[in-house]
Amino acid sequence: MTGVHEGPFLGSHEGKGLALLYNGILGDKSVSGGNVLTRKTLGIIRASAATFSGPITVYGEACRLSPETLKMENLAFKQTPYDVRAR
Amino acid sequence: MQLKLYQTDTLNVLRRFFEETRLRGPKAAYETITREPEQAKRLRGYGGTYEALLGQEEMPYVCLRLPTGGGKTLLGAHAIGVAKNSWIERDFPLVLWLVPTNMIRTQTVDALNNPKHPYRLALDEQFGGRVRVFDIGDFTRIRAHDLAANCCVVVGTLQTLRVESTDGRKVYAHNENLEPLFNEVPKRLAGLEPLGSEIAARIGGHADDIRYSFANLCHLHRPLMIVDEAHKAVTGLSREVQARVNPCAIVEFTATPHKKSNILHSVNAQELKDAQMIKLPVRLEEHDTWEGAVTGAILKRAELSEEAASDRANYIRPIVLFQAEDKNREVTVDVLRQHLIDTHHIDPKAIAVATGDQRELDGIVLFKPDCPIEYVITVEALKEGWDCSFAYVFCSVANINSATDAEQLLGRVLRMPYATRRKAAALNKAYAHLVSKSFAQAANTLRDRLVEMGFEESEAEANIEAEQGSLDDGLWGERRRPNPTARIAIEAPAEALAAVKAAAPDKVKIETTPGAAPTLTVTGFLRQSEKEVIYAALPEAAASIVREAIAVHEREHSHNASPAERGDDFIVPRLMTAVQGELVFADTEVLSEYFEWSLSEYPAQLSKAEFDVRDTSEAFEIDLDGDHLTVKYSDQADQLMLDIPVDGWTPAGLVNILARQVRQADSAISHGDMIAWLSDVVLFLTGTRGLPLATLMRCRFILARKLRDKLAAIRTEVRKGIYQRCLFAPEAKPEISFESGFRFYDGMFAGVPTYRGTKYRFAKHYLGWDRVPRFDGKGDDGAEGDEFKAAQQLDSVAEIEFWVRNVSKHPDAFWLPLAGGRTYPDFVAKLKDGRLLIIEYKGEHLVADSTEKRAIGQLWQQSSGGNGVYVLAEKERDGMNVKQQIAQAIAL
Repeated sequence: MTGVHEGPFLGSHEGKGLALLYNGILGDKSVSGGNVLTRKTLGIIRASAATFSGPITVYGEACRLSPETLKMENLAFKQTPYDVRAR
Repeated sequence: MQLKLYQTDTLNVLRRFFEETRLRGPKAAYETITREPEQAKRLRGYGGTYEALLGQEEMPYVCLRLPTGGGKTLLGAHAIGVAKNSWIERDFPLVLWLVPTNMIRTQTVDALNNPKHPYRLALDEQFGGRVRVFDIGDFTRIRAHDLAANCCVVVGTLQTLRVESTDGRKVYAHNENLEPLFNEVPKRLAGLEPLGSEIAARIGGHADDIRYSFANLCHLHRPLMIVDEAHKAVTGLSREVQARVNPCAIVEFTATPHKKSNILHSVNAQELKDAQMIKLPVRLEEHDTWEGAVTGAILKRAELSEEAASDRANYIRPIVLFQAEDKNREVTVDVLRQHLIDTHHIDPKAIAVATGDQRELDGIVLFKPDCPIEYVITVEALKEGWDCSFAYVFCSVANINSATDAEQLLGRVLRMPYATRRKAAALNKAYAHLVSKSFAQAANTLRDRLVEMGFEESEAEANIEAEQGSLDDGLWGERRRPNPTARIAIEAPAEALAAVKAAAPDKVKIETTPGAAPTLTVTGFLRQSEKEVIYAALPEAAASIVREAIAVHEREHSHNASPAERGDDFIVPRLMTAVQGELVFADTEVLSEYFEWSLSEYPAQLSKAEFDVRDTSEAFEIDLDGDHLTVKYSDQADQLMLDIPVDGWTPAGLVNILARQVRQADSAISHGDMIAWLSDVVLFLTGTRGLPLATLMRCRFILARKLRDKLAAIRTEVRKGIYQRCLFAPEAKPEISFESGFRFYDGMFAGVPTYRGTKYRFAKHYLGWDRVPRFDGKGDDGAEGDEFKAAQQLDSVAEIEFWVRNVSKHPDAFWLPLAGGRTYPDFVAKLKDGRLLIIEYKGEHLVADSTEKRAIGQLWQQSSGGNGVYVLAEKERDGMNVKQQIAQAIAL
């Protein structure tokens, strides 16, 4: 993992980015917190990823973006806790 | 691995089938689903009538059709989970997975046993890692706890089930090693094969006692049968085998189904292409001699290699796949290999031979950039799993008609590297160089091969391109416009000529002969943008010669050019709407991204009408939205949650089980929300409704099914709300945009099966009268149906400049949003006064869903500021035919 970032974007490895959504990244802006991938939280991820433009895997509680949008934005969504495997 | 859209669709149809079967039996379920207009259209004549296998009316037997390269095995793995939840209703089913050959059997076992393989990952995901995979030859390794607490998959071939075969004898024989698996089973049981006097005498038992055989084990556990690519297998299954193995359901995956296979769903080549799984079209060149074919293949590879080098996205090294002749023929592997080395000076290191006894590919990773292999020579089919997507060119030196396994090899060059379309068009196609006397013969053979791979015939025809010029008129019995050519001699440096060729590689050919000026041949018509690139690439003098010659060519032949070829603009505005201050595509999926909603806002109370259970002495009787079904005690007695004793059942445990089963594939609902909502569901059922927890536990699969439906209904409601609010509410701000509009262009529907043009020549089709995408309705190109007749009337409307047959679900097609998806109107036209006309043709039985379509069409019209007209045309309305209805709609 290279690069240290503020916010939900954790960094990148071999050209692939990783982001983790968690409660609080939206401040007081939302009742359901920041752990849902929406247009808004995507904006925050992009801001925190700065110049990184490769594919990003996003971990979060739920995803509101359509499959088409995910493809267009080059994102893969992983839902916690289902998609987190300890193996 | 993320499933592709068409794969999810396929599994959804299978789930619906099982759910319906649970209520109404396989016949009614199959017939209801395959007669729905959408599905009937997809199946094009297949489907409609269910035929029970060997008279087993209760046992569901269906077939899913996927072309080669569609991921059959992966879907097979996913189908197990679908069947488990919606039909088998046991946590850990037994699966009998049948494949066509022993080679594939070994490979399937290996793949399913490899914890990193996508097939195994798919299984693990569905069963929480509790999966055991066995080769059928190793059935004695199965232990009682494997069956009790794991999904056991036993891989075999049909041959291994035949009583006459060696393997088959073992399957049916008494085997003492299996005794522990029969511990709980009474000594005598109807339906199971008894020992018989001979064995009984040998081992000391009664002749009527049951055998401890694998077949009897199957019979007891009622396996799900997954059949991979072997329709012969199922139809060849004898009644005896059937009765002995006693499957609970058979799901078949194949590219070339048998008519009797009860085809439930069919994926077409276009869907695979849209999902970027395959390279299409196939560009074909025929050669008189095998040497010629080899030369053609080598040149093609060189050309592709250059393209690949300039494409930096992901590494590709194009590979030629040669099919040599058998040992007793002329062009054997050795002859071909020597020919490559001697005549074409190819480095022997670049050649790999892959045959039964020469396995030069074993252990080699072709995807590595330092791998030197550019040519692979084989004779017969390459083993399954050799799916090197770098293979681009297929070259058969044998007479193609007699070559066996050609379709399998052809399939090898169709896989798309990295399942991602490339920028360079040449790298999105596959290439075939065949020995044949005529192009027509080669093309016919190629078409047959593609059909054997699971392409529909018309689809195969639409996806064969000629390397030289264009397809001859009437190759498939269709009519084609003549494609005029212009030959222009010019003086220009080689690099300029290369740039000219690159500007329109499909239409421009450059020939150079020593001692004469190079000749530029233009076939068909160049687009304005292509012409500009060509003129700019050439030196001034040459450019003006070409400009002049092309102008003459266009003048002479313009009456033959379609509006699309002439470059006439055809842009249909898109419906947009403002949401939270942003102007976005009016697409419910996109709009939904802007709104927050929570499951907690929706009721968690299941009413008696929605879900009710009565405990009778033998079974649970369940009411489900007016339908009735039963869960028998015996269905689950042997598998009652072995890891949780009955007194350990808790509401929280049930909630967790349900959460896993109703989880939404698109992750729209968070785990926290889901658990909270399900807790309320369970609390209401056990509290207010007074249903015992143990009963719910035993009926959990049906409860989960009901909850999945309820969640789907909630989400539909959410989407409807958003759709209404953003488009139809008083404060909604819909508008149209030409800038983000749908731009129609020449070649946009290439590869889509076309109307053959034999009944009527359309005068105003935008893409040309020979490029009309086929119609829905009777006839293999729809020419016998009502939609075709509607198109004829449309073609005769004087006010229309040109029109196009819109292709449903095509990525470039025009669509309008619906609350639950998109609608693709049948025709789009441009009027002579510049207005755009959308026509939805409504067949007789499609009345039900037309209200929503009409509403959105009218909204598009109202938002267009007079630029657009929408008509929902019927075969006849108020005494008016289609033409009159159109005339009325466009009257000012």
